[in-house]
Amino acid sequence: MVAKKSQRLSIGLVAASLLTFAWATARAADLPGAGLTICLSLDKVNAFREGELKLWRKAAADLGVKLVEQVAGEDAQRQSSQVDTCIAQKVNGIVSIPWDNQAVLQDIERAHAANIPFATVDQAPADTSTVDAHIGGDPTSDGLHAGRQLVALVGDKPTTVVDLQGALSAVNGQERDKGFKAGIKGHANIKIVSEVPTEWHPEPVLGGMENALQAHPDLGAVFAATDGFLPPIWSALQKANRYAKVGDPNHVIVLSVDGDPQGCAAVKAGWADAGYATPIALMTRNSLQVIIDIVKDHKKIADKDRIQLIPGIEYTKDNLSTVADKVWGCSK
Amino acid sequence: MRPDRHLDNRRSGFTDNSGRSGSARASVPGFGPLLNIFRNLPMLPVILVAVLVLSFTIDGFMSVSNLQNIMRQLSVILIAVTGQTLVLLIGGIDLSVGAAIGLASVCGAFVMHYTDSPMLGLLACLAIGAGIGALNGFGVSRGGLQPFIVTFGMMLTVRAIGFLLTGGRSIGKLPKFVLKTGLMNVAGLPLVFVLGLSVAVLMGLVLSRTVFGEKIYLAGSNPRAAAYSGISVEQLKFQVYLIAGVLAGVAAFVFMMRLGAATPTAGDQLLLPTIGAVVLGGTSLTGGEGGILRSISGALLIAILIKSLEIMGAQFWDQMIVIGALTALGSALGAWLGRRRTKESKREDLMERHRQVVADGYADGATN
Repeated sequence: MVAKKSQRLSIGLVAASLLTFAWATARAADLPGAGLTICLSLDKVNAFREGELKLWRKAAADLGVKLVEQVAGEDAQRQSSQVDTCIAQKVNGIVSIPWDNQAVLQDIERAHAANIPFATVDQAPADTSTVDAHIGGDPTSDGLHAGRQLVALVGDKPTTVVDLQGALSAVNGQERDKGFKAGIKGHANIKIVSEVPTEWHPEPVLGGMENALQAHPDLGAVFAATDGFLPPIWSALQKANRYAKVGDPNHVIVLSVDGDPQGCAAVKAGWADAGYATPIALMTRNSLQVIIDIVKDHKKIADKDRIQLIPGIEYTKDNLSTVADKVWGCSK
Repeated sequence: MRPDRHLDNRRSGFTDNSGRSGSARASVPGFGPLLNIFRNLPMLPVILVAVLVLSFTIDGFMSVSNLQNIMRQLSVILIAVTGQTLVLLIGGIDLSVGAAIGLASVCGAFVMHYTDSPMLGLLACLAIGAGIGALNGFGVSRGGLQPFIVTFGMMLTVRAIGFLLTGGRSIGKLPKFVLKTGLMNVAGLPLVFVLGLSVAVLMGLVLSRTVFGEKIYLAGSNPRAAAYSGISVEQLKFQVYLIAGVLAGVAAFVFMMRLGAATPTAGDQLLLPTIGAVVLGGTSLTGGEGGILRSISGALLIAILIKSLEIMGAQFWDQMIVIGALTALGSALGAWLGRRRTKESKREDLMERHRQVVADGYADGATN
């Protein structure tokens, strides 16, 4: 009797498992990217890329795409070699954040020679006409809004500014800087007293900030090309006794781009005045979707959709409650 | 013992596979040449086993496209390890090789950008490489400075100049000829690999078949003996650094062919793999022992493993761990083989002396 019951139970369990498996398989097959393998070639790893990678994995799961992840560790040769590996593995498409915007052109050519579509994200190649799609933030717009925000915050008050630039070899570094300068142009009371090229590394930030604070103890504002610079900025301000919240007369205005968790926390807590969140959820999903469209639906991407530059979201303490769900670093 | 036998035992690959190194041939008749090859190329059995295992365990490892990828990956590093091997053989080290490749590529790209002439671009690369090599050589030979310090200072300076010239940006829009040849295959082999291998083989032949090569080994293993033999060690050091610089210039041009761009950071990630490949191959860091074939084998092993790890989905930090561990192991293996060779050499000397004494004894008995 007991044996029969146990047998029935086993059969039931096996049947349930099979049904679940069949349902999951059918559901996966229904997903738009089912059966596709996309190679994801990242230039480096940092907090921002970790955030992007998390969203890419989520988008891949939602779309039913299998991701092959490669990280180049800031080496153009390694990235090129990894792209070669992806081509040899006959992936259905390649999505890349190129480390070198010139060197990636050869990678694109090799991928196309093997009939593999190639999309870039975040960092545009030197010649965007070569790529099937480029999806990025709008670094000029982010910098421009940061500049305008500074103008609004200081009014006519004479203000000295430190400009912490990203890598000047990267489009994002160049354009955020250019946009910020355009935003403050025509306001003679705002003066950039120090420009610090950082190559996206936090080490030069600390030195640059310390030097600027030494030369200008009354420093008024800092523009950071990435939230990754916030820890050394805090460190330098603390050392100079200028680490104070918004509203405090001792406060130094801080504006930074990215919208990562530390940027969100800084604005929420009142240490930073405004942030510019890159819309990475949209960027990551669109990059996979574009490959699916090309490969599965043989869709020719219209020229206006081929280059998508999505402006960032400006967030301050005042509007954070309404825009927090769009700032990727604020989401749990 | 012949005065140059010690030297023969320390060489590899291109240099002396004739079995002159003695004891292996003497102790295991018939297997001498094979053992000698393995002795001269300690990484060869490891490569053979690795290829065998990986071809069965990794899907597509032996595919034509994967093998071509490995070759492409080897192209620049083959030239860089050739220069590094020469410098290490003479008892030096070149930390500026990566930075030299970066600056030479940037200057070559600028020249090609303005003239559209690949030949002038190549000449610019060679000139910059030669200039850096000459300065290194001058500092080490005439200045009497430590190679580590001279080339370390050079690395920082040259890298900074590269950044000053470009603002950190990479330079593209190279002549079509450079881009096309970079993607070209010759008899199924990537042209960039053929170039890299040709340079390595040529320098291997120079090292093994010329008096210049003999001098490098002697000066590297025993500078005092070399000086007594009439070799100008300082001049030789200058020449070796100069050649290493020129090779960095060649590597810079091949780098541009491969990537279609030049950047001051081109060689930033090349220094450690270069030294790793040379050490792993079995060239001694203290000079006088090793060879280019050994370094090629070290570079090949690293390239094979990196590509396999890439296919398996391992990230670059995992690859770095493997290269680090391998370099340490290779270095330990090299040291162990070196000790064994010294022991064998001493034993042979004793045997020789013993035979001589016995022969002399017989001769004395006969005359008495």
